[in-house]
Amino acid sequence: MTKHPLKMTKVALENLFQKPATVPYPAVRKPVYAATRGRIAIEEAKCILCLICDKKCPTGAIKVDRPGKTWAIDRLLCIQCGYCVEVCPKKCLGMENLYSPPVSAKAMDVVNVPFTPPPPKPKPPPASATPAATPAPEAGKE
Amino acid sequence: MANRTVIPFGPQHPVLPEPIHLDLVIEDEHVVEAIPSFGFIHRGLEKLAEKRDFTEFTFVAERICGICSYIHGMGYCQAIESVMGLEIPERAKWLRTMWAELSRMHSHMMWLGLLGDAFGFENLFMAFWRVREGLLDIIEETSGGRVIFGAAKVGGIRRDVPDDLLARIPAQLAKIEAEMRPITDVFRDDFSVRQRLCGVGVLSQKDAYDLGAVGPVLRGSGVAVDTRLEGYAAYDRVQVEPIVESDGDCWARAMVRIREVYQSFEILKQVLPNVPAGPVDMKVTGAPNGEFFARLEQPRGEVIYYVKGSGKKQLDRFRVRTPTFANIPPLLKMLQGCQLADVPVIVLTIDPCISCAER
Amino acid sequence: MNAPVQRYVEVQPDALLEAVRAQQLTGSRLVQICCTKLAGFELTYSFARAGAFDHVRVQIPDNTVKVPSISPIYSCSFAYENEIHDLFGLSFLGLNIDYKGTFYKTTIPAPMVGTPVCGAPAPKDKGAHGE
Repeated sequence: MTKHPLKMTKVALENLFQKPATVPYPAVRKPVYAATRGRIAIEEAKCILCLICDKKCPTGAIKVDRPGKTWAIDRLLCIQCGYCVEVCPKKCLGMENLYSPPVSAKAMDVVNVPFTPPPPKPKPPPASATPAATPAPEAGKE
Repeated sequence: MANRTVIPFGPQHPVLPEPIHLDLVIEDEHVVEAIPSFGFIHRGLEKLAEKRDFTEFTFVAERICGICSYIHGMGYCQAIESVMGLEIPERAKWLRTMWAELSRMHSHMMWLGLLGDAFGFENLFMAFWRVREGLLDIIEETSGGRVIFGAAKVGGIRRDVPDDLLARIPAQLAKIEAEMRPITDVFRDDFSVRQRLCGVGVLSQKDAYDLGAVGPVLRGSGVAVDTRLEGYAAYDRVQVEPIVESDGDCWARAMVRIREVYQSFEILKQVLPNVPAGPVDMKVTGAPNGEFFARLEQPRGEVIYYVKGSGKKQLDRFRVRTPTFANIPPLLKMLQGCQLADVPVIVLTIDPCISCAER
Repeated sequence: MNAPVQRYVEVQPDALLEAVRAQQLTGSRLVQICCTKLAGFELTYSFARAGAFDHVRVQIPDNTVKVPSISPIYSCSFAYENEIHDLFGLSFLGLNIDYKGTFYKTTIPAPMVGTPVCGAPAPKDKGAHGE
C-alpha cells in the first residue's frame, strides 16, 4: 500500500524552498487581463440618458436621473455582468479591466452627463472622458 | 444496548462551506442514523424566473452556484434553446465545451484541496489550491471572470475567445498538468491519506443506483453513468469515457475526481485545436413556448433543468435539480454505521453545495 | 446528439404508483420530481436508464387532494416530496420520512404558489422587470 512513503515529503520540501506562489499584494499587483471584467465605466459625453441601462441592469445597480442629468452606479450592487455594455445604444458604457477600489461605505458613483434633451446633430469627436468619481488609468479597454 | 445520543452537526462546521444541519444519532462512537435539515439558505430563485425576462434570467441562473456557475448558465440556455428550437453556431458549442471542462477541473481541484483540509492535511490543501490558480488564470483570460464566467447567453456565448489565446492555452494546461502529477500521486499513494479514506463511507453499487446518486458518488460506486455521453454541446465529437471506480468508499470518490481532472485535460486537447471559426451567437426572437428537461453533467453530477414557457417573456416554471440534492439520500445511507470522526470527511465526499441544492 | 427521446406518460393520480412501479421494473432510477402550478398542480416524475429518459405526469386538481407518495418504491423520493409539500402545499400519503412542513423553513406557507416573490409584498416591484 505504501509504495512511495516519501512522496509528500518531496512535495513539502519543494514547497519549503521555492518562491512564494503569492505576490506581496499592495506592493506588487497581479497583471490584469484584457478580458477581465473589472468595473463599468462611462463616457459621459456620449450618453443620451436613454435609461436602457437602468431598465436592463439585473440588480438595479444603475440609476439614471433624466431631469437631474446624472448617471449613477452602485459599485457594490453591480455584478459585472456587462449587460449594460451590450445594450447601450451609444456604446458609451464600457467594461474596464481594473476592479473598483475598496470602500468603507456604500455610495453611488454619480456622473454628470452633459446632454441636452433635443439632440442637435452629433458633435465632432467627443473627448474621451474618464469617469468622474474614479480616476481610471485606462478607460474603456475591452 | 448502548445509550443513544443525538449530536447536532452543522449548520456551522469547519468542513461545511454552506449551512446544512444533520442530527446524528450516535451509539458509542458509531452513527446509527442521520437526519438532515434544510432551508437555511433557500433563496426562491425558481420563483424569481416568473418575474424576469427569460434572457435576463441567465445572469441569475449563472449565480445559482458559485463553483459550477458556468454549467448552470449553460444548462439554462440549453434548455431554453431546446424549447425554442435554436441550433446554436458551432463555435459557440465548442467554446461552451471548453469552458464546461475548465469549470469541471477547477471545481474538482478545489474539492480535492478541501478534502485534504477535511482530514487535516493542510499542506495538500495548499498545494491543490496553488495549482488551481493557474486554471483560474486561464478562465479569467478567456471569459473575464475568475469563477463567475458570465459567458452564457441564450443563442450562443457572450464573448468570443481570440484564436491566438486558444492556441496559447494548451501550453498553460500542460504546465498545470505537470504541476498536478506529484500532488495527485500523494493522494493515491500516501499512507495517511489511504488510512483516512479507504473503506470509509462505503456505498454499494445497488444502493448508489437505487437511491438516485449522481456524478462522482455514483461512478465511485461502480455505475458508469455520465451525462456527457448524451452529446450535448460538442461532446458528441470528443472522446468521453465514464470514469468508474468500484470500491464505493471515500477514496474511490476522490480517485474518480482525480481521474476526471486528467480526463478533462485530454478532452481539452481534443477541443482546443478543433474550435471552428464562425459566429458565436445568433439572434433570438420570440419567447419560449413549450417545455423541456435538459440534462448536463456538472462537476458534482447530473443536473436537470426544466423550463416551461407559454410564449411570454417570463417563464411559467423554471426548475433545477442540482446534484447535491440528489446526493443527500445516498449521503444518509453512507453515514449509517460510520465513526463520528469520519462524518466530516464523508459529508465532504459528496461535494456538498447547499445553496445550489436549495436554490 | 445521442440524447434519448423524452417520453411523457400521462396517468391518473390513482394509477401513479402502478406507473412508477413499471418504471422501477425496467431498472430506471428516479431523476427528479417537478411540481408546476398551473390551474391545478402538475407533477412530473422523471426516470432515466441507459438510453431512455421518461416522464410520468399526473394532474392534481387542488391541494386538498392527497397524492400517493412513491417513497415505498423509490425511498429517495422523500426529499423531493417534502420539498413539494413545503413549497407548493401539496400533501403526500405514505411518506417514509415526513418532515411535516419543516424541510424548508419559509416565511410564508407554500411560497411557490401565488404572485408575491419569496414573501415580498406584491406591489413592491420596480416595474422594470415585470412587463
